[in-house]
This record gives sequence, C-alpha cells and structure tokens, in this order.
Amino acid sequence: MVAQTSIKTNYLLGIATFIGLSAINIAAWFLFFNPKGIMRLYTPMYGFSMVVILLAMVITVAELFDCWPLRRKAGEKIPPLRGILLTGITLILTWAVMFGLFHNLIGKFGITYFSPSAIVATGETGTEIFNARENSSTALIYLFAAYIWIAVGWKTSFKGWPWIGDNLATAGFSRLMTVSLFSVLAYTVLFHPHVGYLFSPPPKLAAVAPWWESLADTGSAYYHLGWVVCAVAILIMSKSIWEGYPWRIVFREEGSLAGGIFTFLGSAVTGFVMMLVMKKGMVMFWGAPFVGGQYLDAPYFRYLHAAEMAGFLILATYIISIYLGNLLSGSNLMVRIMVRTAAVVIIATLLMWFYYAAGPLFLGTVPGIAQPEDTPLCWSFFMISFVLMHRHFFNAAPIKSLP
Amino acid sequence: MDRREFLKITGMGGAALAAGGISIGLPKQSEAAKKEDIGEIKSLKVTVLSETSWFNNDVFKKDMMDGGGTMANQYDIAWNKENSGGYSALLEIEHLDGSKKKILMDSGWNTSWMDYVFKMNGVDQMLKKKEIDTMVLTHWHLDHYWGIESTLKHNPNITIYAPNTHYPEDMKLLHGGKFDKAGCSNSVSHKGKLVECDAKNIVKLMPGVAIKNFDVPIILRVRGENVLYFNVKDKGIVTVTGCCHPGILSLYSFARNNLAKGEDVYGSYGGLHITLFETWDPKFDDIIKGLKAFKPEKLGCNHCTGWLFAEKAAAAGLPIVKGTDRFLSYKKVSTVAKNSHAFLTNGDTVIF
Repeated sequence: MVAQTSIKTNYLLGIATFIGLSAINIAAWFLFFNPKGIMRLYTPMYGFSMVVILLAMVITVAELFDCWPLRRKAGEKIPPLRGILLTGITLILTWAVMFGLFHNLIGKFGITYFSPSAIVATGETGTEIFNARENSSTALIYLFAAYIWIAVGWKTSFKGWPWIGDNLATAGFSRLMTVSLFSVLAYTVLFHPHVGYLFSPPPKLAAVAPWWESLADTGSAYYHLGWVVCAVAILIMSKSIWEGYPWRIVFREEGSLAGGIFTFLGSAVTGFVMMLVMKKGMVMFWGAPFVGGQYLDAPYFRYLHAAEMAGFLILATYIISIYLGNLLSGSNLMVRIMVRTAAVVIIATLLMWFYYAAGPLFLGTVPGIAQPEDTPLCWSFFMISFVLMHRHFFNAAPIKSLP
Repeated sequence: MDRREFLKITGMGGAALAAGGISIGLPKQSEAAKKEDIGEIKSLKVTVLSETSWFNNDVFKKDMMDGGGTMANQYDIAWNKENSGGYSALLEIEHLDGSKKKILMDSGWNTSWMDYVFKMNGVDQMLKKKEIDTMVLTHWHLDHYWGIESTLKHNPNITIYAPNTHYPEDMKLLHGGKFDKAGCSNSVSHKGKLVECDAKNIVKLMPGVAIKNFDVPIILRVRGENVLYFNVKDKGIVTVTGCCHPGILSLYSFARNNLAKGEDVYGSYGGLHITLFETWDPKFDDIIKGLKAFKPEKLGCNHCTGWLFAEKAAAAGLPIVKGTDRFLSYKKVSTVAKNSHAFLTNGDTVIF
C-alpha cells in the first residue's frame, strides 16, 4: 500500500512537473515564435531553424560532452546554478553557430546559401531578404537535422567507444569532430541537392538535381527528413523504453565498433520502414498522393508528416521515461516494452491532438493539417529541447526518482 | 527473459505486423460512389481585370513579416496601401442555346484601384445594369476581398458565393466596416444573398458551371477556397481559380474522381499559387511533371502562379497562354512585370 501511494505520488509529481515545463515552453513560444506573440520569428523557416539548432546544441552539450565543463565526472549531479550556466552556454552556442558560424563566416566566405545577406548580395532572381532568410534557414534545418540524427545515433549506438576511459573533454571534442564529419556527409548526399534547387537557375556545378525523385515521387528532401526523424525516434525509444533492445540481442557489451555499426544501420533501416508504414497508414486515411499534388495530396507532405509524427513519438518517449519513471520496473521485459510503447503511442496521439486542436489557441497556429507554412516539428523539437535541458541540466528537478 | 525468449516473442510480433502490413497494402476502394453531372456550356471567356494584387513583392513581404509572418491575422497587419492593387476577373459564359451570362470573380483589394479597373473595363456599368448579378468570392484573402466596396457601390444586392470558412472580421467588412491598422474599409453594406459554400457539396451555379469549396488552410490565417468548374462542350473541364491554394493537380484529381467526364481536363485559368515570390523548390518540378501527365490544352495563368513557374512550365512543353502588351495601358504595373509576356496579365483575355 505504501509503495502504491509512493508510485502514485511520483506520477502526479511527474505530470505536474511536465505541465509546469510546458507552461514555460508555451510562454517562450509566445515570446519568440507565436505569430500572435512578441517577436514572431516562426515565419516559418527562420524560427524553425533556430529551434533545430537549439536542439542540436542541447544534444551537443548534454550528450556529446556529457555536460562538460560544468560536470567533471560522468554521473556527477549538477547543482541548479550550474544548470542555469549550462542553459546559458547552450543558448549562446545556438546564437553563435547560427549567426556567427553560418550567417557571417561560412555563408559569407564559403557557401553562399548559408547566409541571407550573402544570398541577397548575389542579386539573382528572387533574392530579397525574406526569401533569402527562408532559404538559408531551410539549409540550416536540413544540416542540423542530419547532425541531430548522427549525434543521437553515435551516442546511442557506439556509446563510449572508442573513448572509454578518456575524460569528458577529450571524449566530447572527439565525438563532436566525428559527428560533424558524418553529419556533413549525410547532409551533402541527402539534403544539399534540395537546397541547391531552391534557386533559379540552380547551381548545377555545385549541386546535383535531387537524385531520389523517381524513388519518392518528389524532389523534396522531406523524403529523407521523414526517415531520418523516424530513425531518431527508433534510437530514442530503444534507449529509453525498450532497454536497449532489439540491438542488445546481438551486441550486449557497452560500446564497440561492430555493435555501433549494427545499431546505427539497424535503426536507419527500421526508421525507413517506420516511415513507409506511416505512409501506408496515410494512404488508408487520405487516399494515395500523386506527383505534383499539394497539401494532403503531396507526396512530400506525407514524408514530412511521418517526421512530424515521429517528433511527437520522441517527445512522448521522453515524457514516459523522464516524468513517469518508465511506468513499469518489474514484470516481464516484453510486457514492459509493450506497455511503454502503447503509452508512448497514446501520449503522442494526445500531443498531436493538442497541436492541431489547441495549437491555434496556445501556439497561434492556423487550424488544419498540411498548412505549408506550418510544421508541428518546430514546436515538438522546441519542447524536446526544454525536456532535455530540464533532464540533463537540472536533473529533472523536482522529480526524485530519476536515476 | 533471455535473448531466445525475446526473439521468439518479437518474431510473433513481427509476423503480426507483417500481416497488418499486407492488409494495409490492399488496394483502397476510393472511387466516388456517383459522379456529378454539371451539364455543359458552349464557351467561356475570361477577361483579366486585375491580377496585380500588389505591385512590389518586397514591400508586401516586408509588411507580412513585420506583422508576424505568414500565419498572422491579415487584419492585424499594417499594410502599405500604396502597394495594394487587387485580383479580379470577368467570366463570360455562353450557354449551349447561345445566351450569355456574366460572373464577377473576386473584387480586389485597394478600392481606388478596383474602381479604376472596373471603370476601365466597363464592369461598373455591368454591375449597375445588373448584367452582373453574381459574384464568386474565391477566398477571404485581402487581395481578393477587401476591395468589396468597389462592387457593392454599384450593386449592393449582388448574390455572393463565398467559402463558409470566414471570420467575424470578414463579416464586419461585408456589412460595412473599417480596420484602421490594416487600412481597409467598406462603406456599403451587402444587402444581397450570401451563399456560403462548404467543402461537402458541389454547388451547381447554372448548367455547365459548378463551385467546389476546398477546405484547406492558407497563409494569413485564411481557410478554404472556392473553385469554379466549367464543362465546355467538346473540349472538357476548365478550372477557374483565384489562387488555387488546394493545388492545380488536386483540382484535376477531384474532377476526375467526382465529375462526369471529369477525366477530360481541357485547361485552367487563374492564379496557381506556385512561385508567387519568385522562389523555386524541387516540389515545383513535381507540379510540372504531374501537369504534363494530365495533358491540358490551355493554361491561362497569372498572379500567384509566378512568372518563374510560367516560363519553366512553358519551356517544359506545357501550353501556357502568353500575355500581351495590354497591361501597359493600365496606370500602374508590377515591379516584376515581364516584357516576355510569360503569362496573361491585366487586360488580357482567354477563351476556352
């Protein structure tokens, strides 16, 4: 009886904590992104790019660097003041990467499309500041989506390998370099052709035409965004609620080259299959899309929507694992996995309902699905950033039961 | 649980998922139960009264961004009045018996510009004489609707077919209202019939002419667009749109699935909402590819289609109807007006 009461109390505290965090998130959304709010940066790509970079920086600080330099040893508890400092560092990094590194360094001295002002300076067709800002933001969204995938994939798949035993700084910088290298590779092949063809005439000597067009029935790189975000969802669900399965069936040891490759490639394939299953579901619900269709009929929207649903699954997974203590700790592994997965699907559905039904009231979005100027990924990534900062920088306080 | 047990259970789960996948993969029975026969007309002539909703893209975009971006409420944005124009077209229908009927599509944005445009094309007199007694409002966007006074001042009793997805501000303006920040007003209350079109039904306007509402979310908080379908005898289906937010291929697809002889698409007139801000995207290449599959014979486009799309589509072999120099007779021209006559513009006509 005592144990039941304790569990109940933890659930209530977890739910209350999450609601409190959501309130802060919605207030921040109102300040920065809400079309009826203060700064109104959700234009949509400009604000969306800020959110994606923010999430990438949270993952960099929390996962790649394990909160170094404000955490000296792995597993060390972080006092609240250091949590505030880590939040500040993350925000400064977001600003520095977006405006310093890309808008003013790489964009102006390397790759034009990463800088709005460099795009405008070309004087090419349609290159005024609004278009330029949206296009450079699109490039940043894709680049950092690839970065998030590789970063989460690396940490989840390879764990500490090959820097097991090294200090946090050495391991952090090493992971950063590795993740950056593979992110650039992934971006170049999966997304850069789309960004190149945002311009007219397209830079044919610098970007091939989207090579996946005949496979996907669209030249849009939402095709890749769809399976990449699904792969991230698979990785996070595997780590958080499936206790490392199904990858642990083959490789049980903590971090190895072979285990890492198996997990990473396996999650990519599973993510791709997940996108196809979601696409089939959408065909049942909305009918088949067709080449050149728009809104719900657009093949590119179906891929984007798979990513959007995966975004809600990721958020729901974190809610279950962080705020609801993963629900079950005893019983059979398969029961635990099935109960948690069912709970994640239910919560993700509720989050979708919240976004589409209550979004116009709380987030200032336009009613309806497939509005080209709106993607729920922006808000779900923003909320995931808050959840991860709360989890890693503030030990998910005031929840006591977290490991 | 050991690995063997896990594999056994997941194997069973995988089999169940595969069975589900097979059932998901079964062909979907999505054929419409019964195709609607809307009748036929002999011909349709469209006169482009004004397709220049605004004259400078950069100014329009700056106003929109300063006002909160693409999802902001259009009535909450301080628009530059000098930049506003409007979208409107005159549709002249010839019935099979030779009789003719005129319909006004949309009423533009800036009242003084629309007064000028209507006078220049004789629409003011057509409204006064009740030669035009019907207006189809395609959607509630500022550049199609806020110039409503220019219509109502000549015929306040006109019947208006509009999407039912309006906001209180839209109704306030229709019945005589003013929005200082947005800079729009109407001093003549609408006294005629307002027919609210919903997404469930096809409204048959007259033989060979129908309105279909598509309930899609659109920028600036607007929802829903009315599309005119014409069935021209011996030619086929013609779509006429304000902005075509639902997508031209979705319109063709709807005709194919829901209208008698709807698989025979002849052509289109109107904004196609593609490269309105002179930007490109690989998904626009998808539209060109998809359009070619329908083999339309005449594409009269302008406005939010964007000249970039019109030029690329023409280069790809699509039958884009070229414009003339008539736009130069108007007192104001767009900053992106093209002497290449990429598409139909102010003063041009097209006959289907």
